[in-house]
Amino acid sequence: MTNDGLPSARRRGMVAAALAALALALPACGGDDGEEPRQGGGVVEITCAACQESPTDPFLQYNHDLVERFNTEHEGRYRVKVVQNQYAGSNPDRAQYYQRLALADDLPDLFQLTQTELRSLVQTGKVMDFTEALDQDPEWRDSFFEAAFDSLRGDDGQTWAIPEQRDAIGIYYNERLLADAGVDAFPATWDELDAACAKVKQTGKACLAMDGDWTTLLMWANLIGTDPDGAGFLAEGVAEGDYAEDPVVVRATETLKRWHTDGFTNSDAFSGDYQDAASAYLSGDAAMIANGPWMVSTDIKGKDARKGLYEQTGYSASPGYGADQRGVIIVAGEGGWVSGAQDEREQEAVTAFMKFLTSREESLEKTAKTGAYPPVELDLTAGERKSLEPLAGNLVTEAAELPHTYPHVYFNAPSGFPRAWKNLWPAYVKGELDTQEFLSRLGSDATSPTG
Amino acid sequence: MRVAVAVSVLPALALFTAFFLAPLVVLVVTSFADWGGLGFEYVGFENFSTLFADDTFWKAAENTLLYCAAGVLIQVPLGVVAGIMLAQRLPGWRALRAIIFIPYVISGAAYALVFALFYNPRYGLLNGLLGTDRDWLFESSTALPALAATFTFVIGFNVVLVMAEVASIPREIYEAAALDGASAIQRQRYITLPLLRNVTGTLVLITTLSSLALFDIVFILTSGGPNDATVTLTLYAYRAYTNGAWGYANAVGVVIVVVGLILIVGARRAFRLGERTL
Repeated sequence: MTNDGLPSARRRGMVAAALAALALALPACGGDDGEEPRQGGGVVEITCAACQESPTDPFLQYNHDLVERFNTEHEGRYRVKVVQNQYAGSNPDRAQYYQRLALADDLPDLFQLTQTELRSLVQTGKVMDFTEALDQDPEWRDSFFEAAFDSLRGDDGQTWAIPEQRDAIGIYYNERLLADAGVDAFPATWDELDAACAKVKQTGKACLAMDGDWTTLLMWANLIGTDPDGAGFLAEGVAEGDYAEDPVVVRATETLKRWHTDGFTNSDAFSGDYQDAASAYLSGDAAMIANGPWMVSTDIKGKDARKGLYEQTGYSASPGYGADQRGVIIVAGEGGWVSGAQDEREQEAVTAFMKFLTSREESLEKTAKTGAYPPVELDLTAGERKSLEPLAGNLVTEAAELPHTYPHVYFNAPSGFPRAWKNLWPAYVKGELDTQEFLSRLGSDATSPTG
Repeated sequence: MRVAVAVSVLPALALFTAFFLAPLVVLVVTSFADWGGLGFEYVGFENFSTLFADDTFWKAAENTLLYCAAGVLIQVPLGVVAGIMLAQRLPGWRALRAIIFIPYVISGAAYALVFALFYNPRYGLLNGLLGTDRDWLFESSTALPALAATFTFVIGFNVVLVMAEVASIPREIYEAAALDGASAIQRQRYITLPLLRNVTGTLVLITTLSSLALFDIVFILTSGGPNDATVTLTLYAYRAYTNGAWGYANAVGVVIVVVGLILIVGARRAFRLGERTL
């Protein structure tokens, strides 16, 4: 007998039973995301890590609704299961998250990445190649805009993603604030923009809403891209090298800095928080903001939008270094839908999903819901065009006639670029670094592991 | 009996191994490797020589020590003084204790967002109060003190610990001192403070280690900028990790562990922690 009166044999029996129960219970903790294809009753189930419901992100919400429509249309054959995660939308740590999943052989079947994020993930060898699926359906393959896949291809011709959208990114402006400052029309040249901003400043308003990150870099891209020699830097030069050696980049950087030191921007233009720039424009404190067409549905026409703001808002291509040198940022194929499906039946389901989301009906639906334009050529009827958001639609039409179209700096830059920019940009504008030092460090820090 | 002891120790041993020993071994082993998830190659001390030659690492180390200093030289003394005062149970002490303690229970992320609004140069409260238009978090001269101020005055935990310790000091000692003619200030100076040595040492230790691990507030408010003016060792390691240099990030982690151990030993010796005070 032991102290508590239990015979030692009985106690050993209880311990053994407890251990056996634990051994049986532990495998059940593994959840349902095993390696085997999730097929029950002939239904192939695939996972989507970019499809969760979101009241604040219209793109995620659209993806969620898209999944529901796909599941309804393919009931009994395919089913997409939504995987909740904090990296569903854009997130600076998203690439590392999927890198970890790839190492664990647990990539979702559907998720979204930018071109830069994709570049590092394909090295794991766990990303599905869509080339064969596209070649097997030439009609589907040819429905995409020319060059839509260029930045999503591998060295040996693989197609690592299906492009997500093709947008023209312009500059929103508040017509009433410009008129109050005596500016009748949106400036066509950078000199006119300077003059307009000086007038807007006189009224006590900021001319350009910026955040030290996304919106600031859009204007930097515009300043570079509208230079006849600038598009090459945005397409390739930004990926490596010493930025200080490029005179186009030096001029653009110094102009962007001058806008800050001349007081043309909102005073909280360095936080790296998009909301600071957005709130400056949306509250009527700033006259202009560079952003994509999705801003109409998310902010300008959103339920919390200031009354009358949409009616006062115009959307234009970027000014240029001459009146006939205007330009626009085209985001095409810089991001896309990626898959980690390895099983043949899962890949078949993934391909069906990709065809569904790039169909004419879904493309129109996405444009209507998010303001973003699809990567497929729709050849819209007059009625369809009228039903879409006119601000973005007009810019898309105008973009076809402009001499300069160029990518946004965000997508072709090294993955460390945004962090390096946010770290160095405030110090440069406030005079701690000169232009040469800033651009040299920006280039080196963007590729350094700790920059 | 031996089997029973072994079985009873097993769960604790498994948890200790899984959640402490194994990660520590991985941290140390991989710090000597070029490891980014895709490949693994031993590189000896290369990660350490690279980081010791990196100016940003030294900036991060300097900033981390400054955050530690702010904690030890301001946060701890403030907490001790406030704790002693509240322990006198003057009118309103309960409400004051609650007010002081509330910031301690707010999550770091939420707390950082409050301070992002507080310091905002366009509509922030601080500029409104001072009548200035400074960009507190994005000017190199003010960024570090502005960040340090967000946590230096969070003294709730220190106050509660000190109050508990003061309550355990026998009243008779104070009564005897009063009979001998000691003033109220003298009683606190010569009785309370020396008897708080152990708890003060513990607070110094906790404050130092939490400053060494400071991450969330810096990450949310400035991401280490401008121009690395606020970067910490943990943020420096995080940058390496997110850029795929996992081995390098773990080398920084090893440095943090070693510095932490040195500080623990130093604090234990300085305050003779563990020795009886009464």
